[in-house]
Amino acid sequence: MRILFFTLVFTFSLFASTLNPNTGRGFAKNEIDVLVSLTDCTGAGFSTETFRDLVEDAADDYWNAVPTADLKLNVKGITNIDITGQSHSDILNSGLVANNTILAGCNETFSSSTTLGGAVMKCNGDNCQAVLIINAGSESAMPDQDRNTQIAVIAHELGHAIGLGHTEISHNLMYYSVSGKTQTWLGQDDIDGVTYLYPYDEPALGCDFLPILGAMGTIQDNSNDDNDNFPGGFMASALFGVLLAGLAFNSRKLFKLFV
Amino acid sequence: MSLFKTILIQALILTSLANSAIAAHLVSAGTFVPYFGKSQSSDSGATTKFELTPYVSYGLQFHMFGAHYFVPELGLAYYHESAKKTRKRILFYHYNFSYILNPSFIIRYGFTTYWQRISGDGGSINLRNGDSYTDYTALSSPRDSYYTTLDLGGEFFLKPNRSVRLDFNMMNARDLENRAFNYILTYNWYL
Ligand SMILES: [Zn+2]
Repeated sequence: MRILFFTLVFTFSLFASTLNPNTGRGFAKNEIDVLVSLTDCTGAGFSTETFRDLVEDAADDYWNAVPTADLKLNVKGITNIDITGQSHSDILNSGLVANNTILAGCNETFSSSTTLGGAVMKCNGDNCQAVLIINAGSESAMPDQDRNTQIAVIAHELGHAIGLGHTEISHNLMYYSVSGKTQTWLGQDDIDGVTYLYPYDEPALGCDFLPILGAMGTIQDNSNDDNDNFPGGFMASALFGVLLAGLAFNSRKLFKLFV
Repeated sequence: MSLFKTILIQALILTSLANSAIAAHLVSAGTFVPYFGKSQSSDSGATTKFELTPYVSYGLQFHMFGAHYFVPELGLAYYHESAKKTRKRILFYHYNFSYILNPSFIIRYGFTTYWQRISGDGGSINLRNGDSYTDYTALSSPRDSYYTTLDLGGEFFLKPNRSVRLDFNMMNARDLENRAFNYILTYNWYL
């Protein structure tokens, strides 16, 4: 019994992700388009084309890579939306950003040079949009960052754009600062946060891996409503319980009913 | 639709085992380590290799033929962060098979469906944001996520009825680039 005692002592793991304070929720869909503004990114240390590539790496290396979350950020090409001189709320209020879309761009609207970027999400019912802006002002610290950190900064802002808030544990991507860190992966808080907002909400029970039952594809449910889907989980657990109970009693008569 | 699939799979398993016999009950306790080597665990960029998350399971070892067994197990891992009142628990439906290589070692393989629930007590959490602080929305109503892993593991017997087991569960089996592993390290009692 020593191992049992050993683990019970260490019962509590740290774990606390939070949600975006503007919305307190994620998008209503699990497939989100990310458009890139044509506005010049030179002040941030890269061309607009390079910025687009960094956004794609940020999406693919971080948020699209979570096996427990059903989220897909589709980074599109550069659009002709110009965000020069416009704040996040200016852009969101202008109606330029379509529903279920994140607009990413660079401009010089930041008051503090230490701010590398910002993202704001806005929802009206299930209609959500987000704007992500990287600081391209003359004092921006973004050009001083290496490529890996630039990707992490964009990924952090994408985290806000999909509905996440900060975490208080520093090794997570959603910590408020990247200084002094080498960020390469999401931390467990980040993973839990995105899984909370974009869950795989249908039991799959191994269908993906049973070619013999090839007719059963993965069914994607694009709705992401707040309903607690307890019945599905309940059925899955109840059926497993039946399986265990059936095996425990091992009654040939019981099994004959199934055969 | 999913319910139909669930029943179909359960029925297939029950049917295939109709003439088998239980060899033993199995109780396990140990630790669950998610995202082995693929989640950041320090500011310097180190990744998670080991952590202590309580894991317990109950299952049955079921003789099929020869040295082959079917070992369905129901497992539970539980996380709790008391200050922020957020919780995570994972129920594991393990559908694993085992092959007895020799009296002290068996190989295990199969799949596991995870039922993960994250919830919180709502309200807000005040956290650093740039040069100031912001009230961030805390997690509230429970959300469930389901995913399935391919499993491969081994079990070493210390005594005839006591063993140590290491199971790797592969997430995203069909996506080479984003494949990730959880592992479960347990001490096991055969009753
Ligand atoms: Zn932030």
